[in-house]
Amino acid sequence: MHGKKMAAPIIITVIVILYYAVYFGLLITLLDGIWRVLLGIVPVILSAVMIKVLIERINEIKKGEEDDISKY
Amino acid sequence: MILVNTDYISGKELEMLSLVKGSTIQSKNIGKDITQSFKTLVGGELKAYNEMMNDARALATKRMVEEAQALGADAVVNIRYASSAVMQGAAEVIVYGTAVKFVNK
Repeated sequence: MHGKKMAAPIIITVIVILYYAVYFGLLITLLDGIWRVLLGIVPVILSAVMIKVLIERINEIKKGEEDDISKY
Repeated sequence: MILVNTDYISGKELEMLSLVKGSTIQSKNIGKDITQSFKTLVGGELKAYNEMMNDARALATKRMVEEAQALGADAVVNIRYASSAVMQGAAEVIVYGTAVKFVNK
């Protein structure tokens, strides 16, 4: 049950990180020097945020906080 | 100060004073905005915005109670909450009710 719920967030995270890697990777090839470094930091930061929210979501799913209204 | 969402308080006779209200507009910093927008990609609770709305409700309630206390009220009845988006990432919470005094305390 948890496995099914976790699949979508994980797949989405992987797709988004790959997208950033390819998009910014292509942009970086057009630049030189310090601009390469500065632009290279952006996908790293965005990927880190994406992983952070994925971990948060996985913990939420494991905790099973969603309530079943049939309890009441 | 007693706060209720009914128009009566059991066992008490009430004298109406006035409409009282409190409101606030809150937003989160851009860092939280970005993190929460990423969270919408994977789903789940937007904790930062949830916190923001809880803080907004608490502050609006506090302001309403201050207004009621200034009138010398013992309670506020018929309390209602409402919220709306003011701009991207900012929400207004308004709370209103009727300030009352107890009769034959």
